[in-house]
Amino acid sequence: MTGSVYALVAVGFTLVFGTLKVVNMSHPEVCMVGAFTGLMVIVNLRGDFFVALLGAMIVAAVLGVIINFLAVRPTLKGGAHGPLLATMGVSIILQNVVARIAGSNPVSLPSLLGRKAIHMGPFVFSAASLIGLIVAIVLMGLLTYYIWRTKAGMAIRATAENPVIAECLGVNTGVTFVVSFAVSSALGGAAGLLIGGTYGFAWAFMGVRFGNIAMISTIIGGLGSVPGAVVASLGVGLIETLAQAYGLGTYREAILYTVLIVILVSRPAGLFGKTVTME
Amino acid sequence: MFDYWIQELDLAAINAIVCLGVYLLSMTKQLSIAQAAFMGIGAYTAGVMTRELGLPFAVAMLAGGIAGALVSSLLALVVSRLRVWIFAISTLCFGEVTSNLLLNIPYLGGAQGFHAVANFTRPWTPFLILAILTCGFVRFQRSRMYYAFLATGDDEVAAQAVGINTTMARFMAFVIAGFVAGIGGGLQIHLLRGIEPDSLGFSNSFMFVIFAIVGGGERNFWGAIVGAGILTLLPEVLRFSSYERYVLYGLILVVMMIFRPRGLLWRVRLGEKSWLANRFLRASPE
Repeated sequence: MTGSVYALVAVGFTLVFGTLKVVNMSHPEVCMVGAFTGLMVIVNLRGDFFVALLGAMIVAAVLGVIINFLAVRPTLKGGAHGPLLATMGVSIILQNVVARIAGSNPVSLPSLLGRKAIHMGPFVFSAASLIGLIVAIVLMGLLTYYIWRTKAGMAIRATAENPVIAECLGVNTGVTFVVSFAVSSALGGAAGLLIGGTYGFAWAFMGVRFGNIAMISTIIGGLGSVPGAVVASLGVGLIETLAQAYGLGTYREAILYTVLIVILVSRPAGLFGKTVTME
Repeated sequence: MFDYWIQELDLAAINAIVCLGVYLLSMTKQLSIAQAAFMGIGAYTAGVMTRELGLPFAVAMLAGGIAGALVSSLLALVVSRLRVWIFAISTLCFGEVTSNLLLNIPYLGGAQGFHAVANFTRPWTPFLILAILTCGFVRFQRSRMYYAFLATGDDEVAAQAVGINTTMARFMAFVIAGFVAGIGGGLQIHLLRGIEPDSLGFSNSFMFVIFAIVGGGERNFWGAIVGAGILTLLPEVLRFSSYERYVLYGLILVVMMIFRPRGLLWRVRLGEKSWLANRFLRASPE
């Protein structure tokens, strides 16, 4: 359940890494801004859930493009550390700006579609996590179509493969970077709202809670590999839920991260990845 | 107020000690996000030594360092095959595992953390240790080991070709970094009189990497010291507002990366233009 929403965040990471070879540390905070946008649409404008989702995606996409121009492009020349630290700086800024505006305490997200539980055979879902799953699947389908069946998606794939040659063949790589940032952030904004929906809260530092796990699933899945990111996030969500179910809740992180280390050591390129070399 | 600033300065010195380890790691191109974990392991070890076993402070601190070195050597054996991002993430995972396990050990205080440790760290102790380590690093820069580390980081294949055991160099850098972090942890727990398992996690480890890079500590250990000093004290200097100071902190980070991506103390190579020249003289004829 949670895995499908992690997948949306992880896909955002992987898209940007695939095209720009940049680890966007501010991505979880973009998701958080998406959650707050959705919250504002629902509470202040009395919009319904899908309007909120759309609003979250649009605001997040704009934010992503701004981050791209202000923090990522100017620092790209300074080696791998530049964008890493610059986006880290952006994430600190976003966290504290939102905390300044909305306060640092969790703000309750009004129940998106009721808090009732849905029974399906032996499984029990909350309505919020079910709607999260459905929206995640739909968005993932759209993304797959976009990347593999459209011309713009082809440009993204070509740029990810080799930006110089892509440019030679007439791909405007600058635009492609912006587009991949926008798409990744839009997915992130939706994911933020969905995660807020499952938690029942949105708070300024919520990115810390899921960002780490999403980033790690991205790497486990093989950096730059979209299906890898999806499978890995689902696996991570499953491990988390299982640990909780067997009463090992307090050891949840230890179990999860030990499994991750084992996977990384045995398959250093990730589950679906090719070996990624820097520089 | 005065005591407060003394403590902040001490914390800066302790962070500088840990950042010296980051310098060694980045020399050998290992991006490790586990320094805070080794620091925590050293802190817990030293804390148990003085509070539970009643051993003298110096012994406890040394034991903390050795504990850091031992655990880091174990981790190094596991992750030595990995490179760049995968390496970084594995060390990150290790930090989270350690932090979570410590959370579940009631003997070490569990989630509340390990407290009521005597404050053996005098105001000058961190500076003394930092000075000793600095002397060591000055000496180190003239040793064969320094060149072996440098060569390993620059071009591993070429280093192997001239007979450097690069696996050993990476291992040594990792273990020394663990030792230094353990010492720093021992100092910190006796300064703050306690530690929480949360502080071993990813964000603190990442903080040390930021310190080192912003100072220019990838190739210059003075950079690691300066970076840790400035960035530890900066939020305190900006204390006039609570959220705004972190916004400013983030802004400074972004601006730094744009104008000085390799850190403050970064030696400009011969023939390489400074950012000023790059920005304003771009149109000038070659």
